[in-house]
Amino acid sequence: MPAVADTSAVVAEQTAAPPPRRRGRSRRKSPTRTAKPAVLLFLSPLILGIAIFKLYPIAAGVYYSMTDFHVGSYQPVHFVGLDNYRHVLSSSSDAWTAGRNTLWLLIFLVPAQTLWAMFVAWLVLRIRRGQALFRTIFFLPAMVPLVASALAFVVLLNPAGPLNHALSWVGITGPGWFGDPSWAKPSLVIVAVWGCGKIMILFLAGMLNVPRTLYEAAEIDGASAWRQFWHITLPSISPVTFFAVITGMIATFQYFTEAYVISASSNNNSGADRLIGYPQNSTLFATSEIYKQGFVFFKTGYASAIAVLVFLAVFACTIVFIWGTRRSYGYGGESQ
Amino acid sequence: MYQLSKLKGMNRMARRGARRLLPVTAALALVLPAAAACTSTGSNSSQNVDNVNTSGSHAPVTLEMWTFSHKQNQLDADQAALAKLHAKYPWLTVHLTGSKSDSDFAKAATAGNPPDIMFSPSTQYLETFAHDGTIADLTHLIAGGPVDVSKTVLAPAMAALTMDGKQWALPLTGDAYMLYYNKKLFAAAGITAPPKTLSELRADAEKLTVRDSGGNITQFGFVPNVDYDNNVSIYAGVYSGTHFYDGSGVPTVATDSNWGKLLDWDKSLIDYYGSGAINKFVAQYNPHSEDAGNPFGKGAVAMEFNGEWHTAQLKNFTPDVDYGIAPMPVLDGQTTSSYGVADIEMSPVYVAAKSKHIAEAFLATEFLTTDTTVVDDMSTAFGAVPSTTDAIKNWQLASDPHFASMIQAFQNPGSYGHPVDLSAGADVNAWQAFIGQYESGKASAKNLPDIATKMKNIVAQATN
Repeated sequence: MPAVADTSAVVAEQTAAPPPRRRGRSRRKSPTRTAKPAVLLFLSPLILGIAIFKLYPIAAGVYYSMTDFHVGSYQPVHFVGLDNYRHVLSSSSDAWTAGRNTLWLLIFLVPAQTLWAMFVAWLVLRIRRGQALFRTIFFLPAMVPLVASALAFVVLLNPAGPLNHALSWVGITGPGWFGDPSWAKPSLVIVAVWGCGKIMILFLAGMLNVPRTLYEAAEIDGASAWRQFWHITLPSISPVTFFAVITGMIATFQYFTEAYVISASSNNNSGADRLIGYPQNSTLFATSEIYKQGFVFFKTGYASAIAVLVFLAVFACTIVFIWGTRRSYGYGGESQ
Repeated sequence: MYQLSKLKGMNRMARRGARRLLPVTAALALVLPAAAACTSTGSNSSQNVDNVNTSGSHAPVTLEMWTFSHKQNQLDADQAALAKLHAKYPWLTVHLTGSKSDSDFAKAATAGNPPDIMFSPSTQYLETFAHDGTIADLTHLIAGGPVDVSKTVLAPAMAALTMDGKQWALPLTGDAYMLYYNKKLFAAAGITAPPKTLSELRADAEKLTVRDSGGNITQFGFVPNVDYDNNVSIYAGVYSGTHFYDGSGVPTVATDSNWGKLLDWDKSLIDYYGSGAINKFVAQYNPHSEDAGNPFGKGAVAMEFNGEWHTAQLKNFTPDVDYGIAPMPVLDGQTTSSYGVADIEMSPVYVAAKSKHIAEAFLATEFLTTDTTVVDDMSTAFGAVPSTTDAIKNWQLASDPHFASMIQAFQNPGSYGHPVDLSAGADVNAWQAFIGQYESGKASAKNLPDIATKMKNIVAQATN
């Protein structure tokens, strides 16, 4: 045990805080007045791009969220204050269902794909022969377009499909997967876990960066593979874990394509837009609700209000997460 | 360190830049939406067909028409119809774009560049477009047009596109939802005629259900789940003699007992099969409702609720199935005359309010929706029911026994479709979700007031 503790100390030393930053004003002179126009000129494409394609849509979204604007309407647009927000937050709103479903994904999907990617990376590193082949195999799903992978899973997870057929060989009656309200979200988690190759590559890179000497020291001290992982690998790759969780969290708030494609293909007799959230709104997520209200029911102002609330939720969760991890580990900003 | 300080310098510059950008962006944010709002207010002044010189001396006009058609045979039929229009009015050319939705039309309208004519798949957005000034009121154009539309087009079809006494679109074909039944399986079960009430349907469904030695269902009689195939139309009111809203616009789902009876019938049949078995059926077959894997064609279900286009699919994929088509049974206790009605849905043709050639666009619309040959050819291509009296008489498929009850139902004055209101179908969507919960036991009759309130709120929000 003490040996492991010593190893942890080495890890702590390796990941020690960087030297203190230099305080005070930079000696570098600010651009001269004659240089400023040139700087602005060269930056103008970027500034205009950000202003038009980032800042304006955000500001317009906030503005529309306080109007009764309908896409396609020639009626005058009225300012309605916070009415749209009140409707979103009213008890009969589907936004609550979408919020609950999104929260479910945050709780189950993000940890599942992070842990699976970490496990696969760890496993691949331990393979002595054919490592490159397995690395490629596990990364390949990340290269498949989302729509294609979603459709493949629709076939795979059909109640009469190959997976249930295989389960029946061992006496298990497979569920209805995407067609069953209770199983629809877990099925989406399976799709997400299958396609987590990009995160796996990040973990792989992080694990390759851990100094071998740490493992050699641990082995000499008799640490098991699990203890090596827990006390060396995990602390060393925690910046990657932080990144994977925070980007996974943001991506989950924006989760749309797979749910849309899968629900749309659940009934080829109804329009795809009518099936959003199928079955029984179990796959209705925040972005699906924005799409449904904005592009199916044309309630642009109302949809903008949901979008603003989702933005605030993402922002709040990100800040809380960064704050929490900074307090605990010193990530997400300046070291403590 | 130099690099670090350089970066810090850049950050400072970026912050300064951002500070300068802020007022510009804020101004843009305020000005551009307002500009968009300003450009999208008001509508084109109306024109009269009387003023259109339909002779060859008319200056050439080219119109843009969008259609929901996406299959090649449908697009071919559209093009053939437009060729006939051009032959009649050589000065009038219509450029066609396929695979367009009402959503595309709405976005184009907002952008200020809508097509002159839109052939839409459903009436879902009719009231929204009418209220929002997106489509032109055709009433006065019809009055001045060359065809007596009211005598040509079927009354239920016209009524479906009329609001507050104004005609907002003309129908070009329509859908009628009926009961398909497998004659061979009926004979094997000793059933001599299709059911006329939902109780009879339930009894027949039980007789037609086949289980294997393990108790697993190998053949269903009828699958009533609201999420299955087109079943949502069973719960749209016409088969239970109900309307979603009363005369004052208040939802009736909690006050008209027929809604509750309809849900009880649905739930009891699902319970008879067991939710596990029937949910598996729905999940398995829903993705194949329109292909060779369709369960009715495969004999996995003996009766199916479907539209008229299903005849073409059965002919293509499973031509050996011997089936009949009858009106969908109605809720028990209805008057005997109720049997024979159908949920009917129109495919409307709109004229954009912002069209620069409203009269010419109407002329084209009127021709497409009233010319007997065009309507017949389009109906055949789309596998739909013709929407004019003469087109039904002359239709090559009118003599097909499969279409007999369908045509009668289409002409039945008691037939009607989904509610057309400002919510653009959001209320029906909520109702469908509620029925799904009812079927799974997560909701019961005591929750009907909740869904009524929700529907009321949805429509109120859309109206305000």
